[in-house]
Amino acid sequence: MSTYTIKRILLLVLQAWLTVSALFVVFRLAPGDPAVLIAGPGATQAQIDLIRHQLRLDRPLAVQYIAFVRDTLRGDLGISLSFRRPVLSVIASRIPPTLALLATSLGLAVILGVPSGVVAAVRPLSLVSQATMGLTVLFLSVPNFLLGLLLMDLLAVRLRWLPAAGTGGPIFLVMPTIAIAARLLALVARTTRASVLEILGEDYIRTARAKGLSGSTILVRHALKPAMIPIVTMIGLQGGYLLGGSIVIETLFSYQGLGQAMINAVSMRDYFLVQGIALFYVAGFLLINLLVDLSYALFDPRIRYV
Amino acid sequence: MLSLTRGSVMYRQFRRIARVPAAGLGGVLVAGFLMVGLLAPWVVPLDPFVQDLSTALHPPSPSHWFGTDELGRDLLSRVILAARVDLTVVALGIGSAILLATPLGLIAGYFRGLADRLVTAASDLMLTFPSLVLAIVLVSLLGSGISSVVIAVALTTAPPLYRLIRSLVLQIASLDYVEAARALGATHFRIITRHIFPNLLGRTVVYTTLLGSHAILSVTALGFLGLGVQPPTPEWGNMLVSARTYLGTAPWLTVFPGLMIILFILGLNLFGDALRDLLDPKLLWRP
Amino acid sequence: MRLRSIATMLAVASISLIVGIPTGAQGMRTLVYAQNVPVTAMDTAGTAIGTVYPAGYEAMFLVYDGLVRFNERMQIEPQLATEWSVSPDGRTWTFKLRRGVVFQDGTPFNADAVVFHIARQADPQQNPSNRPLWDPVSSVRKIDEFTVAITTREPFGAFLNTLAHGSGGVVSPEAVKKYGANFKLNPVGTGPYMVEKWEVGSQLVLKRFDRYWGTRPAFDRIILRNVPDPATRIAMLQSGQADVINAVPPENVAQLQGLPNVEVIAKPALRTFGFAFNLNRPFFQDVRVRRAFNYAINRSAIIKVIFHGFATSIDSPLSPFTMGYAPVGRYEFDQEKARQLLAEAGWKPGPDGILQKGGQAFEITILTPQGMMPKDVEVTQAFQDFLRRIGVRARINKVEPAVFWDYLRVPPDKISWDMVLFGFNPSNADGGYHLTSLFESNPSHAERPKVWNFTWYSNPKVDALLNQADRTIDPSKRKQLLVEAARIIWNDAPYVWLYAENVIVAKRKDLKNVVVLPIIFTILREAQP
Repeated sequence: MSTYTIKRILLLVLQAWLTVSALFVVFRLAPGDPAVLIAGPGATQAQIDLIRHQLRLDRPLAVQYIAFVRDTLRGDLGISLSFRRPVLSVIASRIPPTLALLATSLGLAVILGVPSGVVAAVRPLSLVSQATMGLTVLFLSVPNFLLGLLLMDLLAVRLRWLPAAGTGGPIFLVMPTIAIAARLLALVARTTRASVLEILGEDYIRTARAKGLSGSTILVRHALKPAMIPIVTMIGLQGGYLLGGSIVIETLFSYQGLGQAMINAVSMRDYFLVQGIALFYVAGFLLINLLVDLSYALFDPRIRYV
Repeated sequence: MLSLTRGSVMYRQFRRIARVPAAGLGGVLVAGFLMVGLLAPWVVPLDPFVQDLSTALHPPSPSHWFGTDELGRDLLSRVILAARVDLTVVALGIGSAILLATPLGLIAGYFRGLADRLVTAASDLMLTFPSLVLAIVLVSLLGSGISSVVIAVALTTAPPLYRLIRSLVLQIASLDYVEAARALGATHFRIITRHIFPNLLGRTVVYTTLLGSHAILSVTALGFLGLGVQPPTPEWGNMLVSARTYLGTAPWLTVFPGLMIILFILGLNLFGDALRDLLDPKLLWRP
Repeated sequence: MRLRSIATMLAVASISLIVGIPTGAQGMRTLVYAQNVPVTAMDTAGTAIGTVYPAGYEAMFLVYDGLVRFNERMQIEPQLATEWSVSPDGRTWTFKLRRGVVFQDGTPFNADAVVFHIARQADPQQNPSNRPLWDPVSSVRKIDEFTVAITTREPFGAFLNTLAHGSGGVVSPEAVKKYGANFKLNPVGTGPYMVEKWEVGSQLVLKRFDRYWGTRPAFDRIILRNVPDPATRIAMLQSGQADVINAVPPENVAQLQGLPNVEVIAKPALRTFGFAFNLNRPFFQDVRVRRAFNYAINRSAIIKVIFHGFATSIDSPLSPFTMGYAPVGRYEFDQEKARQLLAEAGWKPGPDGILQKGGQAFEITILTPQGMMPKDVEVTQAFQDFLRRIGVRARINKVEPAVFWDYLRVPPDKISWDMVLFGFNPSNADGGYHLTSLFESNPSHAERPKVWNFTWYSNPKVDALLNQADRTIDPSKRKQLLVEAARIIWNDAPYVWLYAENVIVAKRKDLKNVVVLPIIFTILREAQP
């Protein structure tokens, strides 16, 4: 592994630790007593005190912090109040559906977005590319939850082509994927168009053309590859949107992923679960950015991380 | 600075923008929403809070252009008031973000050193939270209400803005004419206010427009998740929630707030794109 | 070509991820029930209210049997007990148990199991919840292999209701010993369906228990799926993804009734709603003000418009279907009368139209949860508008369901609201339990309310009547006492009385024997395809 990669990973660990600490502070400052919530509405003061003791909430903050960091390192994120299971096992069961949703959304956005962006760059005046670019502006303007709402009403309630909600086979992914992918697709198409346009004007493309290479070869081999860098950068910047979008859309479609668990946890004041999921989101976000950084070398031979 | 006197550079540039049809449309939409938002209390046809249970769920008609909601309130009036609410939240949120990010970015980028490293580390830390996750956590901790949403918008908008301003300051500060001004003995304050600040304005304006469309998405999404303002205050995202079970029987409850969100974001996007093409053609990304 | 290979990789990866997710089994008789809240724990002892209600009890009614049960009209019927008698002093109940019953883990059901179960429920350490139902029990003993005797501290009029309640489900003693604290995730009873797979929080898959003592259950599987959003539940029923859905919003009933293959079951429920006064506030200590508020609100308009008729205006703190109910009064909508009562109490309109007294404007805060009670936020907004019309300025504080209880169950000096929307469902169907929980004086002002008396209402006459009713076994005498208590409470008006909700469930039309109880539970154990 190159030193750059190692440095990046160390930085990531540092950021993760800072985030854990920030979460600790934020949740200890939060109003509301977790012990009261755990004890339930019928509890006596003695029962609440007992729970507070078990959760170490009666100890000094520094002691709590050390114990919290130690538990987190051991993978012990506490017990979820609403699921009554260890937070980690709740998260583990929710990760695969969310990953599937994110992968299909990203896949759809790239598979449709890159070609339409290229077409729009190569034939900017054609009706197709004009229409595509017009559509992208619209896609960028429709909030994902509104799109999801309309899709559900049309495709599930009125036409009955698709199941309205839930988790299960691939068919359950169709509407959530479209709802999340729309904005991303638009961004991928626009970024592709802009960066292909820019590269087509560069000297080396003209050289390649002069050498008699065919238009499609030039496009794919010489133009598209470097054009991927801004696209990948853009996707990295949209990592936050992807994760945030999955929260809203999973909730809307009762899709049993991490995002829906997060919203449940927030509304149930399930602090340990919120804390745990937030940690995973941050980790996921950092990971996306790391992958984006490392993928630059893939697309541009001039970039080597040594 | 941003002087719009006839014949100034800015003025000519705005003329140029206005001639692009999409940009013109964007500008008109944004200006329209701003007007409606500002004048909401005077342009609402009826009191948006007064209920009349006997006229609940009436479809659009001459007396209620957008129909009435489940409590018999005039939907047009509520949509208009919601514009004011949403715009206020976004404006206050982004405004506080600018007030926070601009001085910090200028100081950090210009003086570098320990302060720079600390502020940048803090901003990076905030950036590691996906913005909606951060907003959800904040609102759930602070409780529903306009101020919580404003804080969430401010805190999720400030870090990327800070990063942009800092990097621009770094670039500009190393330019020859800044070096020259320094050699001529100009004070730091003068360099920052006279030479650096005006030069980063263009990009920052573009970026802020794009952040605006992002912020409105966050605010309405929070409303949609039930984490927004307190009833009976209307807010577009919140209105869509109560409209959900009426989609089959009273679609206007969904159509009008939904259309408002789309048109407002569309306006910001078109306008922002045009501004970018004009002021900062290299900027491909958006928040 | 690297780009292409990356795209292919992405596509393959996403497809394999999709395929990796299991799909539902086919060719089996499966019933899918979409519930508004998740099943989070299934131990009859110790389940906290709030997170599991009603889903947890609905699941428990499939897995467990009680000694007795409620039928559709909330009458008591035999279940695991075939007959019973009560001693002349009203304190000892003797039950004959059903023979040939086994638990889902294969262990036999007998007197020992019942003794274990009753002792466990009665012990506040092992069972911290539903205390008002179980505190009266003092001892339980085995008489022979299939006879038990249960003794209460005093005569306990609603004892059979306790046994029919969701917490009366008999657990397998062996399983409780085996799983310990994890029993709540590994429930074992004698009921028709047993746990097959449980993804806590999302869905519970139950399978038929082949050695069930009663008629053979009709389904191979029953899946209880958590779908919080009502519009999504309806879409699932319409698209055939769910066979039964609960908590149907009233505005969707007409639309569902218009569908050929859907049947809507709407029933008046036992849960009654009201806006509770914080009686510690000086301005609410005047009964004229509280009565004025009761006259200010147009209940029938709220029921007609917001509930589309699917709610019942109440004339007692109790729902018409609760044991011990009789009508005790009415507050007809009359804003003029409301203004007059407020004027008598010294509240006069100020220059801005807001009532004033001694220089203080009449401004209050109303607390409401969002999405926890039917139409909670809408009703609160309507109430706010009715108050505005009599010159009271109200501010709404909408909070999330989970923190709602924190606002209610606090000592009097920590109460942050002036009025709060609240509904109480006597889940044992007993009016004594309902009135005692809400209106019996709290023991100490320094502590949290004992049960749900967060208005801090206190009337010695009511306390005495409720206490006497609790110790009365004869149903008609008991009812007399409860009606008298209800009348006093009604006139004291610690609440702005509103309505009893309707429980609304929708199902596939050809699905038979779905029982909807007025205590908001949907019972699927006898459902037939």
